Parts: sequence; structure tokens; C-alpha cells
Amino acid sequence: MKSINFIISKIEMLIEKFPSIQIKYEFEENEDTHNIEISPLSFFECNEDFKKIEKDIYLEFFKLFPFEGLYFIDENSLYPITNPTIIKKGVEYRSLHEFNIQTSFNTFETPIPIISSTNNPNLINSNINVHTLNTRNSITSTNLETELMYSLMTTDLIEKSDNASFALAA
Amino acid sequence: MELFEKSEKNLLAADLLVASEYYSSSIHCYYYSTFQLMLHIVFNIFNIDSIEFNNKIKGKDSHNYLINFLRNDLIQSGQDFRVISNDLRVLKNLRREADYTQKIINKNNASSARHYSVKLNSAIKKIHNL
Repeated sequence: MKSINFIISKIEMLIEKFPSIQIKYEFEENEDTHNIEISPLSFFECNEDFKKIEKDIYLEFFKLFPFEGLYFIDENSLYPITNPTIIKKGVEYRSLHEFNIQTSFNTFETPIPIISSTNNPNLINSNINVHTLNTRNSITSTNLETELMYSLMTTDLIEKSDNASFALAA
Repeated sequence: MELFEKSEKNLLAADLLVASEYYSSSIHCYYYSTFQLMLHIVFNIFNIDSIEFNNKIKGKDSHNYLINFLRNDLIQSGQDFRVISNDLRVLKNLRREADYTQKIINKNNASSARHYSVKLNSAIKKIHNL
């Protein structure tokens, strides 16, 4: 068996066993070295089942290919994979970007008070109301408010919402 | 001269090279300081005969073999292997860039190599009670 076939079989096994991960692979020919990058970082750092399998793969690899390099790395590595020849995503894998958007709309549990529309009690001669939108519930506001929510969620304001009493919308 | 002493002297030599602003050469020495310490472990802790070892690795990648060998020992003895494994990868890459590429090596790169070499040497010594 060639080392590349060994590696591919292990990548396929890992993706099937851990559907929430992404694997990038590259082979550094000059170094005779295989690099396997696992995402997300939290999985790589914390999943004990994966760590056990990682150990087994290293041990098996050394028996079969003692003069080749093999490294499992995380996405924050100082030398990340820049030219992957294989990228495999498990069926449940979500990138951080996808996760953020989904989380913003579906699972953000903190009520977000925003000021919009009419009758703001703190503003003189204005017509602004205070609404509290809990995104755990479906967003039933107008399109404008939905757009506003999205806009707020994608800014630093939303990250500071724990401390902010209001997110002011003009 | 024993490999352990060579390893220590390569670290000192690397610091002198940095002081003279020979940054890429310093990275070479930082890397070999760690590599020689690993060889010392193999020959003197695992008692592997150096002639037998050299015959085994003849014409092959002795660096990969050494890293695999020591990482396997860490795994089999139930110790944390990830930090050492990844630090070795980073130091190896710094050395590759310094020795084999046209990349300009600066003081930060040399500092980084020193950091990883010193950290690795310290960890390896601690594991093997040196």
C-alpha cells in the first residue's frame, strides 16, 4: 500500500465517523510529509474519540511508512495548509461563517431590544417604538426590521449586546 | 563530542549568529540543536546502536524517522504528544524556509525558531529526565 492510499482511507473513515468536521489534506513532496488539517478547532482540541483515533493512525503510519512525515494540525497552525489536494466536508459540517449566520437567526437566545419605528419615549417629538425581538422566535417584523436585525447582527453591536441596553436604529 | 553537548553548543552558536544578524544561519543551528538532542535520546536513552541506526536510515529521511520514533514513544507511554509534534513541524518548516527557499529571513523568524527549539529541548529533557 502506498502512503497516499493509506491517508485517503483514513480521511474517508474520519469523515464518516465524524460528520461535523472538515478535512484538508496536502502532501509536501520535498519533505515527504502528509499534512491533515481538521476543522473546527473546538473539535480538534476537545473530541476524545478523535484523539484516540489520531494516536492509532500515527502508530500505524509509523509501522508502515517510518520515513515519511505525518501531522494532524488545526486550522490555526502557524503553517496552515495552503494548497490542499483534498478537501472533504462531513454532512453536518458548517463553516464558521455559515454557523454565525445560522446562529444569528435561529439560536440567539438573548432578547435584543432595538428602537425602531415610532414613539421613542426618550426622544422628543419623535415617533419611535421600542421592540424586543427574541430571535428564538421567528422574526415576524417587517422586511425593514428583518434587514435591520441582520445588519445589527453582523456588526460589533451584536457582540456587545449583553452590555448594551439598546441597539439604536435610525 | 557527545550529541548532547553538540546540541547545547548549536543553541549557543545560533544565539551568536542572531547577534551578528545571520538570521537564516541561526535557524539552521536552532533546528539542529533540537535534532541532535533527539539523536542523543535515541542512542543513549533507547540504546539504539548508532551504526545500526545509520544503516537503517541510509538514503532515507532520518528527520521524519526521528520525529515519528519519538512521537510514537510519547503516544505509547501515554504522554501528550500533540504539542511536541506540532512544535517540531513548525521548527522543521522554519528551517526549510531558511535553508532551501529564497524567502528573506528576519529577526522575528529567528526568534520564532529559538522559541520552538528551546521549548522543544526543554520538553524533551524533562520527559527523559536529562
